[in-house]
Amino acid sequence: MRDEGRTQAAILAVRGIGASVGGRTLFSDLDWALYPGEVWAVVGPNGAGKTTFLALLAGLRRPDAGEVTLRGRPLRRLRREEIARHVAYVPQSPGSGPLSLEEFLALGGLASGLAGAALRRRVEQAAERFGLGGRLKLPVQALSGGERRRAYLARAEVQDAAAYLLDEPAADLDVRAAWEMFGRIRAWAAEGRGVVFVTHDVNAAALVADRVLLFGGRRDAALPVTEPGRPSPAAEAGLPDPAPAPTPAVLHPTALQAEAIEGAFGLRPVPVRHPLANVPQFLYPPIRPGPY
Amino acid sequence: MSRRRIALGYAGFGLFALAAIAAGLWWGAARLDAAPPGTPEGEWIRRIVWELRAPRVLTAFWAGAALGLAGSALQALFQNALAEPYTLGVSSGAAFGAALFFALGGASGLGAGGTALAGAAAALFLVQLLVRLSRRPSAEGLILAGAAANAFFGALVSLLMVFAGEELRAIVYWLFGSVAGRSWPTALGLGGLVAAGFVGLYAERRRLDALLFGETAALAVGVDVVTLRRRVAFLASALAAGVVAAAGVIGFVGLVAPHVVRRFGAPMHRHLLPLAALFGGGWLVAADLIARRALAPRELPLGVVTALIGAPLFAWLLVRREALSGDDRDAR
Amino acid sequence: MRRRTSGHRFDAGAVRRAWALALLFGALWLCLGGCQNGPSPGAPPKGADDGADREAAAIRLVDATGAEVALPAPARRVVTLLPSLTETVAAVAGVGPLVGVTANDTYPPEVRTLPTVGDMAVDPERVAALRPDLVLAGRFHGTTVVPALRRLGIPVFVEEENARTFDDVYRTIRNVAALLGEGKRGEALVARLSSRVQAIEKAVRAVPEAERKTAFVLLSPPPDVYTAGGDTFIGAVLRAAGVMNVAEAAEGWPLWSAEDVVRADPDVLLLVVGEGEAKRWIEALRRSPGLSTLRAVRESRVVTIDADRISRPGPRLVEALVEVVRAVYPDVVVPEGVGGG
Repeated sequence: MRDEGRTQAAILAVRGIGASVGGRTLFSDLDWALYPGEVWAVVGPNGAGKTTFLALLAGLRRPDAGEVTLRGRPLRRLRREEIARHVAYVPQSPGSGPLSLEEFLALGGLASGLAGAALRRRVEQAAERFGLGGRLKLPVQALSGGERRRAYLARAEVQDAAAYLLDEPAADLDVRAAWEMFGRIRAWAAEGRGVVFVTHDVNAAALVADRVLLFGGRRDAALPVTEPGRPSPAAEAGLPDPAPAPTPAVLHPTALQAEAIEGAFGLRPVPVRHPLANVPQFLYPPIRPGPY
Repeated sequence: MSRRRIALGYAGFGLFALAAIAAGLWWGAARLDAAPPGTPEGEWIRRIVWELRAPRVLTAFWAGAALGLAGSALQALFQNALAEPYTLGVSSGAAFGAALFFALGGASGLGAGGTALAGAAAALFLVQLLVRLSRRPSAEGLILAGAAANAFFGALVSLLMVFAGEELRAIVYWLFGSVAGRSWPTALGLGGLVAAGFVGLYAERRRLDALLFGETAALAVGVDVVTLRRRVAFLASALAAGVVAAAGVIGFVGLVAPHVVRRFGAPMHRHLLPLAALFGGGWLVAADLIARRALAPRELPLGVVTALIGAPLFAWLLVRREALSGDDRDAR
Repeated sequence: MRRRTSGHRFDAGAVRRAWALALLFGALWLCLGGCQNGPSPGAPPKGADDGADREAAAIRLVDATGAEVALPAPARRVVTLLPSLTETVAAVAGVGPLVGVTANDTYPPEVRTLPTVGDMAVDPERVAALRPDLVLAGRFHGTTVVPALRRLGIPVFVEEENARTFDDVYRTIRNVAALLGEGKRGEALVARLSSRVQAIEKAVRAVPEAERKTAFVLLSPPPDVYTAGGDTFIGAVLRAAGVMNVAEAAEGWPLWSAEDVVRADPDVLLLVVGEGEAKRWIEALRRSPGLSTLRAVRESRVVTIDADRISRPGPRLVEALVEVVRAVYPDVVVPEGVGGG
């Protein structure tokens, strides 16, 4: 995808990786890299491998083939602490625990060894940036779903990493909170960090990301439009998917087109243009009554 | 949590432990106020207290502290508020190890401590294996695995007793738990083990905190969960084995102590570990006092006293199914 | 523990050092805890009634654990931790020297009023508070109670609580008598007991081989079937009584299979029962599906023996022997001893 020379500058890079879940190949032979200042959106339907891809980048699982490198060094050779010094990861389902928010956020300083007053300042700053300033003394268990999501994002902020890997960061967030969160992502990129976020939301991807990695391209347009989001008949019957898993497509957000989205999601959206940001946005086709 | 509340916690739990130790030293078969120091009678009573009661009280304190530490560590390890050496069968494993040593004619405390450690580690390994195999890392799965380990090692101890006959009559009493007649070397030895175990666990305090939010959340901030698990499991086994070798099988202190401290509002391990040790220690000293005085001159087995208080609480926790982490549906 | 330390960096080296320390400490202290010292060479506490004139009569004896026990003078304040030892003391020196016993002690009746120091579990502190100049214990107390008392300088003499033969009982009597400075009375008691036992053995030998009886000893109420092997004191009593023990080849106190008892179908069933328990046991026996078919049960040759007498290897051994002989061989005339029984 890119030439050898730039691989040295990449924060995270993958070469020829593939992954499968339960015998089903999600993707194979994927080359990809994340550079400082870049924001990537990983888009695709449910079960296409977005979360798996992010877990590979975070070193939470090993690829079936190929290798993930962090600043040129193989991820599998690095200790967790070293990985966490460069890579911050926010899981899809933020677990809860009995600590107060302040204590929870301080865990972000574990890998870097940040301590004392410096850590406290950073915790307060991160909480402020994610609108949690007044919540520091509350137990994480007492926070709302959206607040807990922001708590995990703020903990990643405390971690002060070079790469941010966010799995569905907008989930549980209301419109205003999501908009501010995306603003935070852009700010991270402006600081020279690389960001990868997973989303189903094509419009958010087009608006926020510099590049889009579109998963699930195998779903051809022949699938009936009336059954969006259903697994293929073969997968439903428990058979291996006959179609070979293609590598995800790399797209520029301005180049997103209704055909590509239909190819991934099996639903042809209505393309429009964002009047202010001048990027493509996509609307649902008109809804008609029908079976799920 | 506010500094004031934490300071209050240290003061409160510290005072509780000190009061329990003072009461444990004061009350006994020989009354300290029966004769003034200087008289032969008074000197004799003071010698009894120094040579017999003091090491006994201290052994109880260190055993309780070790159980509080081991309970805190195991609860973080399994993210389950019901975990402790007794419910996980770790104490049973240690008991079998030590009983086997005695049954084969061994006599030294070092040897019994070593085989107890091997038994404790084997039990903990068995529990972890069962949890993994059952593919049910829930609170119930862990408790079931612990019950299985308990039953297994309990049966092995019974088997030993069938074969060893008279030699093991002493072991039966020892299995019920007792700190009667413990010597200064035992008290100081257990104290050394507890200090070492505390240092080892305290070094992991923030990693244990991170684990409270689930494995993935811990991995994300750079905790090597596999290594952490191994270390903490070893330390908890060593502490549980030390308790079994020095004072026999004592249940529920490891369950109750961390729970009370957490309820008080100190879930962070840098406070939970020392406070649970203080509370567990004080509580076991108090339990030993009850064991000695409740039906004097008869002595109740220490494990029976702690179980009488702890078992209902355990049942209550089980009914409430209190898990440490609310939900732990992490990325697959 | 204060806030400031909360953010310390984790370096692997520090953790490993902590580990090495943990192991070192653990090993060191467990060893210290285990390698407990033997009796400390302290003088026994001086009782108020202890005169200085007895010091010449120093007593040295080696106990069942191989420990040498030294008394500067015959013991005057004795605490016994086993009923058989209490009975032995009472037999050679009366209850006078006894200052403490366990809650299990019932004989002689006077000991019931003495201070108690526990039951099976003995509180060493309570023993020490009685300021004894001698404690008589069993091997069973060896793990904690004995070392604790010896640390205080209290002489503790450990006896084998599981006597296997009459000679074991005689040895215990001689030891206890020596410690109490009553060597002559001890010898006299042993002579009396042994001549009586020999006389009974001789009388029983007169029973023709064909009329010899087999017996099964039941130590627990059915359905549990615990019995006494040949190497126990009860086994020795049966041998002296000329009775063939079904479990003669077994060791200790085994759990026996009811089926094997039915197959052996012994002439007599000996129930070793506590006071007032006999009726309940016999009823349980009649209801037991296996044991009720025994000849001994159907023909009412079930004999009850007082548990205290036959399971305490003390000076009352002759009484137990006489009880067994009278029950099994009613026709044998038991010779009266010289003031024995």
